[in-house]
Amino acid sequence: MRIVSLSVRAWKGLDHVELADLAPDLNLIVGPNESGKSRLALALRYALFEKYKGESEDKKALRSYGGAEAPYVEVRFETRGTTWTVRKQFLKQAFAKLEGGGRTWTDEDAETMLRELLGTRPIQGRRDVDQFLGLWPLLWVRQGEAWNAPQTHMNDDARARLRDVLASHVDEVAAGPLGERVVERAERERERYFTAATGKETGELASARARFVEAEATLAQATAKRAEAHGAADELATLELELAELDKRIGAQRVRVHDAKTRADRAGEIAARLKAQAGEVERARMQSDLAAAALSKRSELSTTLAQLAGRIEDETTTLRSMRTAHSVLVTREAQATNGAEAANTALEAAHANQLRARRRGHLEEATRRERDARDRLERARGHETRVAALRSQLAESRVDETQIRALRVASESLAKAGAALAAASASLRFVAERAVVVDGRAIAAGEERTWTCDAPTRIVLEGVGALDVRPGGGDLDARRAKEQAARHSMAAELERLGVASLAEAEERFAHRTGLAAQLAQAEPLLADAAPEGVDALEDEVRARTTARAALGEADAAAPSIADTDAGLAAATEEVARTRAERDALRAELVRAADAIARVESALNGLTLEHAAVRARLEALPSQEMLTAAVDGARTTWLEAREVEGALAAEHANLRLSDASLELDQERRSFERLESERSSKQARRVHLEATVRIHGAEDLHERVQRAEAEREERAVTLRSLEARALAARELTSALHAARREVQTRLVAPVLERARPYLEALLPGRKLRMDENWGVIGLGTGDTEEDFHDLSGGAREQVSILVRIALAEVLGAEEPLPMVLDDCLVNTDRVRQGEMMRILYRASRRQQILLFSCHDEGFDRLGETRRYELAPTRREGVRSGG
Amino acid sequence: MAKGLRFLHTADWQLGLKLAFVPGDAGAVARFQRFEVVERIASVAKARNVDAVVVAGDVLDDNAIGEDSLQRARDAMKPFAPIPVLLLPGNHDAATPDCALRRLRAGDHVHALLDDAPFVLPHARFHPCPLRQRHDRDDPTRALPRREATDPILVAVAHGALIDFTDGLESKNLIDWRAILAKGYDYLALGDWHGTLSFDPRVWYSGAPEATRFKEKRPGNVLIVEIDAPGAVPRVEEVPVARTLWIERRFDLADDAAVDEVASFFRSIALPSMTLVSVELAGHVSLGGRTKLDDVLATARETLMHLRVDDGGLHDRPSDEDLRALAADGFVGRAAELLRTLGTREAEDALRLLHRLLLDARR
Repeated sequence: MRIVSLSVRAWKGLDHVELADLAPDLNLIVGPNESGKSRLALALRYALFEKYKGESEDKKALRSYGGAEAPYVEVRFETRGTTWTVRKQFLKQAFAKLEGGGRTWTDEDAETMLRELLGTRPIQGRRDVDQFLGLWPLLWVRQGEAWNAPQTHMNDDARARLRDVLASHVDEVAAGPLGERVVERAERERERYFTAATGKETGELASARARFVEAEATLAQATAKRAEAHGAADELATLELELAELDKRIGAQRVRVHDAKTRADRAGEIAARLKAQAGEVERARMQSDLAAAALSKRSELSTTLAQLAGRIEDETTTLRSMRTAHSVLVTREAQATNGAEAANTALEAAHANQLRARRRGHLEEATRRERDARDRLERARGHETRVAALRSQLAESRVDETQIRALRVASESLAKAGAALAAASASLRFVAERAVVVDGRAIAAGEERTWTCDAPTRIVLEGVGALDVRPGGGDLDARRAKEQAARHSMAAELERLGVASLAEAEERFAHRTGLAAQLAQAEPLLADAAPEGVDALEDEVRARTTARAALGEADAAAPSIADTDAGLAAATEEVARTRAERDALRAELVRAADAIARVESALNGLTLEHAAVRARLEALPSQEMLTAAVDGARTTWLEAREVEGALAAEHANLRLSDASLELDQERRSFERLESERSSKQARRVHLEATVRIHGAEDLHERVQRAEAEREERAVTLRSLEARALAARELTSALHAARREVQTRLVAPVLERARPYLEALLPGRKLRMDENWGVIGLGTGDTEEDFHDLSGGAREQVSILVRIALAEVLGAEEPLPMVLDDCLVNTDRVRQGEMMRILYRASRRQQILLFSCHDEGFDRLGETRRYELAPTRREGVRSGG
Repeated sequence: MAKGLRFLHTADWQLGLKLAFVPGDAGAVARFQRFEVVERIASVAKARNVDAVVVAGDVLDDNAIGEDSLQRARDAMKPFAPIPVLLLPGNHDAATPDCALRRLRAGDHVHALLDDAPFVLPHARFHPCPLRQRHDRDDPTRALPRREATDPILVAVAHGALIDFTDGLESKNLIDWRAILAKGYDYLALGDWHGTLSFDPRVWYSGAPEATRFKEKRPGNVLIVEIDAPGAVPRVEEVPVARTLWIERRFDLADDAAVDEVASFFRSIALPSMTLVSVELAGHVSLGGRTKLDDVLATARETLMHLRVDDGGLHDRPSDEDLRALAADGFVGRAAELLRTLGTREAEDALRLLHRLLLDARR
C-alpha cells in the first residue's frame, strides 16, 4: 500500500493543507511546533479509520476555532493495484466517499469497503480504539508514543496477521480459529478443576478432595473408635487372665509371709538370749583383764628396777673416764698456746724483711726511669738538629712548584711557536742527474740534497741559474714574531729563577722536592721523641733524678721481694695453724667439762628414780598371789564365751539374722500384689463398662459406612483427578506447542531487525517473546529489560522492531509507516544512524516522517520534503 | 439316624459385613443376601434332618457390630429351631469380653461355644476350640482331650489356618490337625478359609456360604457330614447355597476387536443383578476402541450387582483414524504429537480429551 496524497480543509485550525504526490519511499514533513504536523497525521487516521458519522467530542475537536466550515479530509492511496480516493467530511453534512477501480462507494458502504481494504474493524466506543485498527497502530506511531514497546500497539488482529504471514514464511501451518477454539475449550476444561492464576485445585475437584479428606477422617475416627473398643475388650480379656494369675501369686505370697513371721519370732528370742550372754562374757573378760594388768604391772616394775641399777653403774664408769680425758686436754692446751706465741714472733720478723725488700725495688725502678728519660732526650735533640738543617735548605731552594710550572708553560709556548715557524718553512729536495755546483758546493750525479727555507732564500746552481725560494707567504713574519716573543718570555723566566735552562730548573725542583720529603719524615720522628717538646723532656729528666736521689743509698744486703713474700706467707700460715689448734683444744676442754656435768646430773636422777621404783614394788601383792587371781578370771571368761558361741551358731544356722528383713520384704511384696490386684480390679470395672458402652454403639457398622463413603468419594475423586490432570496436561501441551511454533514464527522478525540493530547498537541482540513482544536487549550472558533502556534507546529499538514487523507484514505488498516526531529522545550521533536506517527501510516501504527538527534531518536523503509554515493558516511548500 | 451322627458344617457367615464397596441398591441386595443365606442353610438343615448345625467361627463380622445387625442375625437363626446351632467364636468374633455372641441370645437352640466345654448329643460330642483373643498365636486345639474308650463320636470344631498353609488366611493360630486326629477325633470342622477345602476325609473347611472377596476359591457351599459310628470315615456332601456370584477376569486386549470379547463376556453372565465382577484390562486399544470399551463397561456397570475395573495396564494406541482426527494444523497437531510421545496415563487421557475437543470444535 502506498499513500499518494493527503489534503485537509478546515481541519483543527488548518484552512487548507495538502501533501501532494507523496513519494513511494521516504517523505519528510517538517515544521515548527503548531505548524500542523500532528494534525495531518491525525487527518490520515480519521480519513482511513474513523467513522464519518457522529458528533462525539473527539470529532468536535476537529473543528477550527471560529470557523463554520466542516472538517474535511481527502486521501489518495494505492493498494491491490488500484488507486483509491477516500473523502470524508465530519460533523456538518458529514459524508464518506470512496472511489477506485472505476466504482464509487458512499457513506456506510464506503467505510465497509475501506475496512475491507485496510483490514480494520468498526470502532466501538472511544476506549482502546487501537484494538479495532488491525495492524496500523503498530506501523503508525503517534507523537510521544515511539518509546513504548511495539507490543503496546499490537492487537489480536495484528498478531493473527503476523501469525498467518509468518506461518507460510517459515513453512508452519497456522492453527487458526480451530486451534484457538481448542485452546479455549481446553483451558475452560482445566479451569473447571484448577484456578487460572495459581493452578490450585478448585470447583468440583477441590470439593471432591475435601469430601474425600473428610471421609478419610471420618473413617479414621470410626476405625480408631472400633480399635479402641477392640483394645478395651482385648485388654479386659488379658486383665482377667492376669487377675486369675495374680490371685494365685497372692495366695503363695501369703504363705511366704507366715513362714517369714515364724522365723522372725524365733530370731527375736535367740537374739535376747544372746544379748544377755554377751553381758556375762564382758564381765568375765573385765575381771580377767584387771588381774592380768596387776600382774603385768608388778613384772614391769621389777624389770624397771633392774634396768635402773644397771644404768647407774654404767654412768659411774663413764664419769671416771671422762675426768681422766679432761686432764689430758688441759696439758695439750698449754702446749698449743706456747706454739701460737712462737709463730707470732716469726711473723713479725718476716714483715720487717719484706719492708727492706720493697725499698730496694723502688730505688731500682727510679734509676731505670731516669735513664730512660735521658735516652729519649738525646734522641730528640738529634732529630731537632736534622729538622732545622732541612728547613734551612728548603728555604734556600729557589725553584718551587709554581715557578717550575710557569717555566714549563713558557718552554711549551716557545716550542709551539717554533713548530709553527718550522711548519711555514719550505723543504727543497734536489737530486743531481749530473755533477753540479749548488751554492758553491759540488754535488755528484745521483747525490741528493735537501734545503729547509724559513726565509726568502736564493739557491744558486752554477752554470744553470739561481732558484729563489719564498716560503710561508705573508704569514711567516707573524709566526716569527710570535716565536721571538715566546723566546723572550722563556729567557725572562730562566733569568728570574737564576738558571740557564729548563733542565737545570727541573733539576733544582727535583732537589727541593727531595728535601721536602726528608723533612716530612724527620718531623714525625721529632714529635714522637718529644711529644711535649724537647724542653719538657729536659724537665722530666730533672724530676726523675730528684726522685731517685730521695730514695737514698742502695741496701745491698736486702733480700728480694720474692724471698720475703714466701717467708711472710709461711709465717702467716703457721700463726693461723697454731692458733686454730689452740682454739680447738680450748673448745674441746669446754665440751668435756659440760659432758662431765651432764653425766653427774643424770647419775643423781637415776639414783632417785631407783629409790622410787623400789618403794612402789614393795607396795604391790606378791607375784604368786597375782598369778593365781589371773588364772581364775580367765577360766570364768572362757566359759561365758563358749555359751555365747553356741547361741550365735544356732542363730546363724537358722539364718535368723535376716529374718525380720525377710519378713518385711515378704510383707511388702504381699502388699504390692494386693495393690496390683486392687488397681487391676479397678481397671477391670472400667473396661467392663467401656466394653458394655461400646457394645451398644454399632461401631463396626460405622466403620463400614465410613469405608463405603470413603470408597465412593475416592472413586469420584479419582475420576475427577483423571479428568483434571488430562485437562491440565492438554492445556500444558497446547501452550508448549504454541510457544514452540511461535518461537519459530518470531525468528524471521528477529532476522529482519538484526542488521538495523547491529548498525545502531553493535553487539546487542534483540530479545522477543513468542508473541513478538520486545523483552529487551542482550549482550553475551547479560540481558537488559526494555523498560530499563534509556528513553532514546527505547524509541530507537521500538522503531527498528516496527520496521522489521512492517517488512514481514508487507512481504506481499509493502505497507506505509507513519512516524510522528518519533526521535525526540535520540542524540545527534544515533539520529545519524537512524537516518541511515530509515533511508534503508524506505527502499522497501513508504515512510512518512513528521518532525519539527528541520536541521536534524539534513542527512535523511528523503525523496520528498514538505515544509509546513510556522503559522496555522499558511499552506505548504513541497520540494523533491 | 441310629447311633450315628449327621450334622451341617458351615462357617464364616460374617453377619454384619456391609460389602461397602458395592454402592446403592445393589449393595443393599448384597448385604441382604448375607442374612438370607442363613435362612437357606436352615432350610437345608431341616431338609436333611441334621442333628446339629456347626458354625466354625466368624459367625459375626465383628464384635463391635450393632444391635440392628444382631437382630437380623437372631431373625435369620430362628428357622433352625429346634435343631441346635453351635456358634464358635473366630478371629472376627473372638471370645473376648466384648464378644458379640454373648449379646446375640438368638434362642435356646443357639449355643455360643465361648469356652472349651463340649456340646453333648446322645451319640456324639462336639469339642469347641474358641479363639479367646483376636490375635491368638497359639493352636486353639492344643487343649483338646484324648479320646477315652467309652467316648461317642467326637467332633472338634476350630477356626484358623492349618499348619500346612503358608499364606492366604487371616489367622495366625495354626492348627495341627494330625495331632487332633491322633487324639482319636472323628472329624475336624474348620472355619476361616472361605472356599470349600478338604485336607483329609476327616478334616474339612466348609467355606463361606456367600463369598466376601473376589480372591476366594470355591465359596458358596455348606457340608452335610454323616458319621456312622466312632472311628467310621465321615461321608461329606457339598451343598451349594450361595445366591451371589463373584467373578474375577483378566483381558489382554490386542486390538479393538477384543472389546467385543469383553462385551461378549458380560453378555454371557446369567444373573447379572446377583453377580459381582472384577475385570483387569491390559493391552492397547484405539481412541475409538476406548470409547466403545467405556460404553461396554458403563452398560455392564448398570446391569451387574457390582463391577470393579482395573485398567492400569490398558493403554491407548491411536489408530490411523484417530490420528486423522488429531491431525490438526499448527500447534494443535504439535500438541497431539507431544502427548503421544509422553506416554503417561495423564498424557493418554489428555490425548483422548484433545480428540474429543477437536471433534466438538469441528462440528
